[in-house]
Amino acid sequence: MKQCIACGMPMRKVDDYPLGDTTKNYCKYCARANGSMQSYDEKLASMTEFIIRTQGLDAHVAQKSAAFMISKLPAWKRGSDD
Amino acid sequence: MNKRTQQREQTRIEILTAAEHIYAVHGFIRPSTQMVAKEAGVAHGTVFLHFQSQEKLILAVIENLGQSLTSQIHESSVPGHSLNEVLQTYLTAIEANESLYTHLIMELPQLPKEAQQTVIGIQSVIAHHLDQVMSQLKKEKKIKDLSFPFLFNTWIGLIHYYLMNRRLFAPHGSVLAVYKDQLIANFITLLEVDCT
Ligand SMILES: [Zn+2]
Repeated sequence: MKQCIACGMPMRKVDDYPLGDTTKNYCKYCARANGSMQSYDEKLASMTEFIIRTQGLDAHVAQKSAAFMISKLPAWKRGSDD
Repeated sequence: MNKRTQQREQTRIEILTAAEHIYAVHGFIRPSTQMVAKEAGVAHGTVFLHFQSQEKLILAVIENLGQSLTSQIHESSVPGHSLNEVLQTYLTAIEANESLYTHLIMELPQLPKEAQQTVIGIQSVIAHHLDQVMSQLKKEKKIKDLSFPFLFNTWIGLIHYYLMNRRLFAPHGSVLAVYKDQLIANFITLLEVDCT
């Protein structure tokens, strides 16, 4: 089973992949409408929005937390870590 | 990987495991790095060779905990899970790391901000799975039409309250082992739309 490199979600079904393309290593939530992977800024914005919508956190706190989570994922890991 | 790096990695893991044990019993703030070194059976300086500072060691243990919880939750969540199963998955993951997790949430105000962000990360994973099952149930009008953050925070608040007051509810062991099933059942009853 593959794990989305951009958000960490496991991808089990064809439906988890962008436009059902199982050769991709990122999930449908991390893809744009055309199936290409979202940029860092787009991912940061959508994850911030998700935290606010589901946990009701302050916008600034949500953005800081989203940036922290994203920094731990393979697609966005900074050089300092390896 | 050559032998020396292998050895080095092995020592790092031993220190991390020792720190996990110590922090699970005494919390993150109180124990000294000396205690950790002793538990791991390494010289005090070796701890700093691998983790530079006490804060870095604490954060490495917290990051490990976050990763283990989120992967457990992700792995045991299958599509089409019921609300009961999603809540069960979450509490089973927490229960397996109950004392360490409880110390983490209790000591959050004293810990570096990365600790708080890790907790929000764990919550985001469970929020993702809950959101999927709850929005479906809401569509089918099977649960009350309350805002998602309210439902989510009610659930997290309830669980954290029991964990933080373990001494009042289960002084001799795991609070989730005793209360897990009834907390889930009652929470679901609270949300259900009365069909009668
Ligand atoms: Zn993704």
